[in-house]
Amino acid sequence: MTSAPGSRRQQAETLCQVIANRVPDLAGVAHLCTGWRDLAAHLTEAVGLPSTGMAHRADGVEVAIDHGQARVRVALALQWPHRAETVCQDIRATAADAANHVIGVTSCQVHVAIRDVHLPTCGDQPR
Amino acid sequence: MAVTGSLDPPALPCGRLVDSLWQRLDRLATDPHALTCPHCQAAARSLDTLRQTTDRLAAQPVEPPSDLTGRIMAVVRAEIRRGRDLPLPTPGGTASVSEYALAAVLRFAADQVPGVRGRSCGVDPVPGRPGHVRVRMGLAVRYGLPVVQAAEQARERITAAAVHYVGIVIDSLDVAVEDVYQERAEGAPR
Repeated sequence: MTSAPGSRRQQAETLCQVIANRVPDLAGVAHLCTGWRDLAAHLTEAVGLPSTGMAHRADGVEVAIDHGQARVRVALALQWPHRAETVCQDIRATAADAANHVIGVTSCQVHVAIRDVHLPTCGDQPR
Repeated sequence: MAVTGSLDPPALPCGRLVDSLWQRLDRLATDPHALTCPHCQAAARSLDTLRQTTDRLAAQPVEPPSDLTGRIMAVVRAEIRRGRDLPLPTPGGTASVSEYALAAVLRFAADQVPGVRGRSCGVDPVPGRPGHVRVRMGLAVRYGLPVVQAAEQARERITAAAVHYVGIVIDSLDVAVEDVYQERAEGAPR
């Protein structure tokens, strides 16, 4: 697949949105987690200022594209009883697939940060 | 952090506090650690972006959205609650788990033992051994239950859950029975 047109920044923005849309649908992902890394993006968005960084951030997802490689960070809440390792593998596969098909980048490095966990409520579990 | 009950500010993997980095942002060129530490440099870049954005905001006569402060404070509170990120060895790439998420899984594992409830849980990474932690867990045990047996069962569940669900190995697990509780009879007044 050839590279999609557009600057690296536009590619990062596109990839970021695609990943942010797909990851919450994966089994074992309760939701994406916003962190202090997203605060600058929140502030720029709130007053309509253009962001000047090379990385693009949506809530919980951060994408940078350098030298033909996509670097992705996904922060999420794990849904019990899914295993962290399986969920990480699914997220990596999803991000790599998106990078390849959406912007034509075949090298994708993904960091998965499990920031929270959703457990059954007391009423759901046998005691 | 929330797991230990204190309200320490968030720390970088190198041990530096984000607050301290923020205060010294203009003097980092004279700080030998910050000059070579990738964590400090990455955080400094993000903080610098935040400061530049804040400066631009301050210079503009704009009316911020009414929920802006609330949204930012919600993020700040959540970050403090979740604590540090612990490295999580996984095949195919890097991963991490927050102290809060790990402690929640471990407490839940203890809760699965009949008559046992997980309470306080402290997690510390083992230096030089990514994916290994030391854990301190406080338990409440139902009145009448053999305490030693209950604690032993909880220990087994906690250790197994850490490996199976999270992929973290517990090098040492200190269990303290902090409380005894009495089961309420059905329909009894609260």
